[in-house]
Amino acid sequence: MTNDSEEERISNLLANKHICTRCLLRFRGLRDADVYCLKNDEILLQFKSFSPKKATTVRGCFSCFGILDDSMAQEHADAIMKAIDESKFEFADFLGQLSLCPSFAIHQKLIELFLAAEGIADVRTTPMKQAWKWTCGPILEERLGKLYSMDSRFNVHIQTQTDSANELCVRLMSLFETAKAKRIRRTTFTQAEVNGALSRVSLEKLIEICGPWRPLVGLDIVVTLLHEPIFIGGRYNKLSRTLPQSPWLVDGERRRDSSVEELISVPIREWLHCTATTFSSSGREDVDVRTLGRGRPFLIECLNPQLVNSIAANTHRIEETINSRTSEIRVSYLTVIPKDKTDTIKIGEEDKTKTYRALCYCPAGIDDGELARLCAIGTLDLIQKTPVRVLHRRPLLDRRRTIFSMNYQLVDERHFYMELKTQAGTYIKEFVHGDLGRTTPNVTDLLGKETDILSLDVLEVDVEWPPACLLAADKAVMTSDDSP
Amino acid sequence: MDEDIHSFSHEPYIERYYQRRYSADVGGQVGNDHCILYHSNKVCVVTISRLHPIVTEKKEISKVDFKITEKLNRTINSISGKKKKGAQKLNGKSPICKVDCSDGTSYNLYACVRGLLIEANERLLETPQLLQQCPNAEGYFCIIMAKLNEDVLGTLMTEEAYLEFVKSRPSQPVQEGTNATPTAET
Repeated sequence: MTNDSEEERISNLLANKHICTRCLLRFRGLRDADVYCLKNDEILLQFKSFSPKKATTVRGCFSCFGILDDSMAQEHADAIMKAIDESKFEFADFLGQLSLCPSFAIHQKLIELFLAAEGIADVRTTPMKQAWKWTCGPILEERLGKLYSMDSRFNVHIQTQTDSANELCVRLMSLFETAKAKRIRRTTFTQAEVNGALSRVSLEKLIEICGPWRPLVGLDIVVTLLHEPIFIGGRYNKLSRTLPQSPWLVDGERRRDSSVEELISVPIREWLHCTATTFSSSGREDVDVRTLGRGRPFLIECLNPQLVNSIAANTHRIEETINSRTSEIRVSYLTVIPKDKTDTIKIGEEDKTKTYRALCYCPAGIDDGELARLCAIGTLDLIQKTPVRVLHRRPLLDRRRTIFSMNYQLVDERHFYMELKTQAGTYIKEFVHGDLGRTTPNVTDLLGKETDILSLDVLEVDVEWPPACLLAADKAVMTSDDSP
Repeated sequence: MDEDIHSFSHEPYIERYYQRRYSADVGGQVGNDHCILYHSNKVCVVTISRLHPIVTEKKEISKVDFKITEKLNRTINSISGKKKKGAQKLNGKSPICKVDCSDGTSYNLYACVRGLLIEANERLLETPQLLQQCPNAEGYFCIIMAKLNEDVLGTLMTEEAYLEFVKSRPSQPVQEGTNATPTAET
């Protein structure tokens, strides 16, 4: 802690250097939030040791470019309000985040080195971002009518820019760059590079770079509003045999104009007014496979959503919207998922069981006895080489998978249904026809006759989703005519 | 149960997924015809034709050898990743294996397609007779991922063209094979 007389000295040294009141407080090491948020005049009154001509409200402080100034703070609040009004963001609280361009660090270093050279042993400057938070936080709270909170999911991000930033960086970095770097003539540098240079630069050089003590102008801000992602999950049924799960592109062209992913994501994006979503699910099915039963678990991450207030209570309305727009899929159990529960959809993916129904065909004919003998085998351990049909986009591997049980239903002398309970990741089609012997054992070999698979349905994806605790809470909100 | 079972295509899966093409008298050996099963994803499964003497004369195969030179063995092909890094590069004339029959004849089998060798069928080492028993399916001898712009379908013979060629080929007594004859013209 700088003692009183040192603080006096600091005030005197920085007296005519165009440093604003709050920056003076910063260099004096003051960390009292309640002081920073006072109006300028009140601060001056409090610190009687500041005589009016020593502390000035300068527009364009040599240290902070004016960002800690009362009226500048109001201007920035205006800009933020404008951005909010032009958007559809709904928020209960906010977090202000300031990004400082390199000019700030460079000027700060100059002042610190200057003070050190004048004999101030230990300059413990209060960080700019902290001072800004204490100064502007209350102003923004008042203007927005919402609380400033560290836990807020809504970020007001302010990026500072100054005209001088590039120039200062280049001059600073050119003191340290190698001959090779000089030839490349870089103009942008990382924070780490600038900090590294600042730790080595001398006061004299810095004075050359920054120029004389004077009011600084040319501060601009860019306001970005960001809401943390919201996760929505549920289960989907795929009732079409011509719909891909995700957008299907071949050589840049769409094969089909829709997909499960889009049919679910687009209405959700509309409700939340968000521009980007990512879709993930507990496994996938082929285009020609239906998903029946409870359906396959899916999760949608909605990036930078705006209309967040009504979402939790309206998930069944969104479900209805999705279901009414198409007969190719059906969504159920739609609910908001808290971030910490989102990975349960993927955990233990390899361990999960899936149940399928395959319509099989033996051109040579098949009878009850043969099928009974096949299904009596019970558990089967398979080795599946990567199927030829996906070899172009999957690595060549031997996959060990287990068939837990098999049941059959004869349809006629050549057709039968087989219900299989298998380990996740089993290629069912290949288990039936054998994929040129690359899946062993396989039904064709076991029956001793050519067997083909005509159609496949997923009956059950055995994953607890949405997470049970949420479902119970949600049931209280759902109406009676909701999903199965 | 809710769908009409006859609404589904009953074509055998090989015909559904693959298009057949042929290369005749491969390696300059008369009758040494190969069949290339071309999948829509550009993966090619290469087999001997059902009209190959090994099949038509039901030859007994004593050995299938994938060793080409001291340093090159088609079964020693370690590949990693989706892009099949490390796979042996092949052109149409690359030899894949040598087949020795108990009647003293032998045949060299070739890639026929330019691309990367994905798999040499090691089952033929233990069960060489597969070549003769299932020429158009399990008896394949290699799988090749064709180069992207390789026009496999355009440069190799169609079923029709192949049968024409065989008819006009001297000496070989041709029997139509007993294996599934494709009816669809692809």
